[in-house]
Amino acid sequence: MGQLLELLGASIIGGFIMLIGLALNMQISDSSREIFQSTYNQRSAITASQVIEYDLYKAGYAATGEKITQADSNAVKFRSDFDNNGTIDTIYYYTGAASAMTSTSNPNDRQLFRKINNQSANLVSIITRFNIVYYDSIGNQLNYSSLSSSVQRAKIRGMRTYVKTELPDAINNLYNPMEWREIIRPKNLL
Amino acid sequence: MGKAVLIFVLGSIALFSIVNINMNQTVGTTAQNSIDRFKETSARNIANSVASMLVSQVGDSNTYRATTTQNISSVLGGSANYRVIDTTISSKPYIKITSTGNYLGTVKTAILIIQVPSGGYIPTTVKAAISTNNEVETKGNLIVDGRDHDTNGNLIAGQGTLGIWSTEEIEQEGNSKIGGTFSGTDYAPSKPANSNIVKEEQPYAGGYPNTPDSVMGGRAKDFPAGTLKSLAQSGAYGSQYTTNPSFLTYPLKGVTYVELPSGGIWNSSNIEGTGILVIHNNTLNAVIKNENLGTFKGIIIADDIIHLHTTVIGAIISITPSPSSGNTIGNGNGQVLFSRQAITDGVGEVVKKINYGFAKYRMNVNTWFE
Repeated sequence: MGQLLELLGASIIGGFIMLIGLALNMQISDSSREIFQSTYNQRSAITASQVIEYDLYKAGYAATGEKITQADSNAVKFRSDFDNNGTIDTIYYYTGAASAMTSTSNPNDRQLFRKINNQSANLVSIITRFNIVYYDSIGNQLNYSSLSSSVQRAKIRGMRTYVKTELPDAINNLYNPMEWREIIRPKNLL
Repeated sequence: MGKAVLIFVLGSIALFSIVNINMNQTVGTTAQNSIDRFKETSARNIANSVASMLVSQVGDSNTYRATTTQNISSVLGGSANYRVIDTTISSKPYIKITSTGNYLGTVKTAILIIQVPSGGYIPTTVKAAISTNNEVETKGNLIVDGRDHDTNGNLIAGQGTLGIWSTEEIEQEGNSKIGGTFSGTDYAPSKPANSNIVKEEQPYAGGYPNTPDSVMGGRAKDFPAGTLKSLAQSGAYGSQYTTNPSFLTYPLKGVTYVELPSGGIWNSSNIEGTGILVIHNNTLNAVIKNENLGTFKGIIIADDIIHLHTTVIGAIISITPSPSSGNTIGNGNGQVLFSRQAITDGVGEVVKKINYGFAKYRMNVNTWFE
């Protein structure tokens, strides 16, 4: 009888330990996935910001005439000798459609593209939102509708870029958003 | 059972340890991403800040240069090095600043092309493509065109001036043609010239200027007596002073001041270059004759200028009231094309804007690559 009780007690305690171990493993697994995905997410945002920064700081560099040829809320096209090779290039940033991302469960993620002259567009990063706000020399926000005019676009002196990245698939129903926002004042537009 | 639990627990501990190490590495990567980003931004800030300081430095002293790499060991928490050198783009002089910021091993570079702001202007003495204080004759196939041109001689509509203006008579002979602009209307060079663009026996309020400095506007334009000669003698901006034109080096730049003895003639001259070309002496009888070589872009101020056989883009001003050779400006295939830009650029080679306005760059920053 004593042995039976001992065996039963040991089984219960052992069962608890196993349950605790399993729960711990699951939690560690979730945390690990979350941290890994967050790092990936952060990396996506940083990559996007680095590429956008690199180009936007050079907007108008060595260009004469019209420097920004398109200025929309989620697309911008400008002229610049961004690689400093003596040739003026046209750089175009725009986003793809959310529906094009069929392999992820996130309904908002889309591709951010960078197109140089007439070359094929390159993928910059996967984002869920890309937005640009334009400012004049004294910091007044320029209305998007007015920016269809080249005269108004010539007033652009600053651009506030906003990039939001999220996980491609939710973890615990969360997409863990990461945001990058920066006002860039290209010196060659001043 | 006890063994199974023990194996399971030990396995879990091992698994936990491995996952924990991985998580720590991932967290470390996340932190490193942020640190790298901060370092990039800091390095760029250092490069741009040092570049701005150098722009200010050149503004304070236009002749400041650092032709070898200079180091700053401590700036904004990092270090920097820089160079400031002269450079030429499309034949125009610029100053190139290269500034490299280093923040904890992350390096960013800013490259600036700057220019001392031009203070170029068109002197009020310039009444026409050719303005003289004496009788003028045009002969041969000379073309005098007071219509505006760019610095390459291409026509700019409606912004020109008279063809010839003189305090004395103007005679158009041979196959010479004179054109110009009057009240916004362009008149192509022709013979006879349209009377609107040739003005003879004109009064000059206050008396016609009798020195190159007064032609430039005198003290009111920061050209008190002797300024042009001093500039030329200083060699600033490529200027030259000589009493013997055979010693001139080409192309002419800045102020080229040729001071000839009384009655001296610079014959068969080469005038290739830009800026302000002065041929003068105190008795107002220094002569430049048979300008056979080179194209000059800018303003020529001569006591006596005759027999132009080459191209001048800008304007000519003759000072003397007693010219030689009947002051036949040209008797061959020369041409004088009035150009506001060439005059402004030419004067601007030696007249610079300085100290204009608080918190403004005193330099023109043409491009900023960062």
